[in-house]
Amino acid sequence: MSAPLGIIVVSVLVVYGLAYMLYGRRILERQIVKASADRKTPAIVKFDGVDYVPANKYVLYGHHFASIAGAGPIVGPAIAMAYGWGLPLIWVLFGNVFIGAVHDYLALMASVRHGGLSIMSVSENVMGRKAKYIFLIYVYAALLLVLAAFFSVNAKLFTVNPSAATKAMIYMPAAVLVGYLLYRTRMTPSTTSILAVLILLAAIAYSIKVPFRIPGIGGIDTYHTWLLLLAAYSWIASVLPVWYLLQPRDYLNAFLLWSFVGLAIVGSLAAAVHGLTGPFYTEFSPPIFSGVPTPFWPAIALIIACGSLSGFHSVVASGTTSKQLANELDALLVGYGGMLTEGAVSSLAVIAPIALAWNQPDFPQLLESMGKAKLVSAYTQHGILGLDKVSRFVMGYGYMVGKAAGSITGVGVVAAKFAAIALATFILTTLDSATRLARFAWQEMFDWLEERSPRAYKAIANMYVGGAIAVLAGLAMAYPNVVIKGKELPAYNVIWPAFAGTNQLLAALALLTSALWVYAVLKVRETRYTLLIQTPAWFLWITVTTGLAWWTIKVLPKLPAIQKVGAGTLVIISLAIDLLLIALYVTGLYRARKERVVEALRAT
Amino acid sequence: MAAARALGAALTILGLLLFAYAIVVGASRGQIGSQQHWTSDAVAVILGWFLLIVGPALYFGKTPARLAAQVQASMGKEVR
Repeated sequence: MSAPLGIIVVSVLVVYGLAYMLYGRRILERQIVKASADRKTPAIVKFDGVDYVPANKYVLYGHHFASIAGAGPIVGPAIAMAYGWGLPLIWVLFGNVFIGAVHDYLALMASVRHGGLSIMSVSENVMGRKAKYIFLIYVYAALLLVLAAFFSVNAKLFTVNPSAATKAMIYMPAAVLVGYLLYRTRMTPSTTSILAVLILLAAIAYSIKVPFRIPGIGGIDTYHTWLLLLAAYSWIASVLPVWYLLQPRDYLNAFLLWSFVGLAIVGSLAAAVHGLTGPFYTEFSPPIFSGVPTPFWPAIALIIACGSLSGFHSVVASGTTSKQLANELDALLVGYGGMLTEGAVSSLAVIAPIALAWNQPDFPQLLESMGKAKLVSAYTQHGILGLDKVSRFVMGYGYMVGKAAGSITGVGVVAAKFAAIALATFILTTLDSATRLARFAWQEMFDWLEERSPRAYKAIANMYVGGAIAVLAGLAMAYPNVVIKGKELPAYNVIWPAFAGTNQLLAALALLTSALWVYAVLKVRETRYTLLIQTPAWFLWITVTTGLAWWTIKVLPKLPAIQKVGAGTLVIISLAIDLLLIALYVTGLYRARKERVVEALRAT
Repeated sequence: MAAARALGAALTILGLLLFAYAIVVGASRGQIGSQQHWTSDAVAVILGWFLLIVGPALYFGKTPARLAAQVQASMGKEVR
């Protein structure tokens, strides 16, 4: 099927617009959560000047988006293009509207209504105390794994792409400067915005021209030196007040991300008449995981995470975001809108460009202009699937924008480089947010100690110790190398293959918790609303649990022995925790239904 | 408090000098640092980077007045 690009782009924009106005605003915000500007948020009530600080809704939107968007919304759909472009696009749209955005918004609002505590702690109110601590330990372990992976990916990125290192070096001090201008001078927000954009452009231009290279230090290679520097940075950034670095940095990020998404929309509309050369559908089970035929269902939930739905989002929404929400009415833009924006990245900046650039006669010109002439033969033989997943995205994005501008080797090259910079920025911002989130989870894990021994609690759960433990644990998994299939890789790779499943299981559990919160705490009991939230939640849980079981039976045996043990153990523990939490969930649901019957009897 | 502010000011100024030095040297050489050996601009940019993140935080210390006023107005009580 050769559909024009324009039809896809307009359809995506219409779906997102309708979903935001009808499902998001009318149903979730007004009928279910009943958000109100009069109800004070934790950012105001528990203001502490460090973590609980109200933020402008656009700044918070930038923070939330930049934190939830790591490499996931880009890499996942780029891999899933092996199914053709139709099925991944449908999964992204369906997942966004009915699962991901609902999951993020409800996790955010549940946290806001519980003093800014995480969704794991909210579970105590509906599933009991045991559920809270099991959930917290599970999420804390997942966050440490995320930290290890992002330490490693950033360090590798700075080693192989020194321009990304230059940009990071300029970006953080620039964020401090923007924070100073925003909060401590009389400069108007519009003037600050113009200055921020100029700083951002100057930083990008300088970074492209002037790469930052370092050798190793004291017998340590460049990659490991970067790991140590990034660990020190993450710890410092995670204990600094959010108004000082995190908010202004994400204010800067907001410009970058909107330029990135905006350029994708403009580019795809301008190239609207061009037909997609990629197939709508290739096959139901192409070889994706370790060469094993990978059925679209249930495996798609393990392949496309952030672009459609992701458990990590509930941790961000109920971690850093809920503590900065100034007004309940801002939550729709931040939580629901943030997820739709991430979906727009997947659908408009990844799936549509790759589908357009799939098999084009002039695409090799872009590869040659980008200095990637060695990829031309792979492209000529296999189309865009012949490139690796990151190149599919970077080159596809560049090709689409270049095609729209009528200059593949000029504008296309600049757009491709811009796409690579945007990807690098998303990866770095997730790193220090994840450190802060791990600190929050650590602090909540020890809340039982606060009353029994305030001194011990202060010693164990203070922010410096909490941040340091998270950083050291992440470093312990990212620093040492292990040999896998004859290649030296960071140690976290032993368990990393299991991450996709554990993260998506977290999404299913967080959405079920939120659904139960709506039913039991908000007491929204109309059948249509219950079904609207519970049905996608159960669908996701069944999909992910089946997907994990399929992965354990079919993919795990193909992995090297060391990963069989590491990732296999993690998946089995995850499935055990999954079943335990589901048992507690059913108990909580049963209790809530019983209360409902008692209430109904009293009323009569 | 005064000592922390003084230390913060000193770190910020030092950070600015080191960072500016590295940026200027980088622009003139076409790159900062080197893959083979440590250069003064590479050391300067790393030190300057950390100092510019930590220094202003120590210098300013407390919450900006604009933010504190917003919370104060909403809560009707003074915040630190």
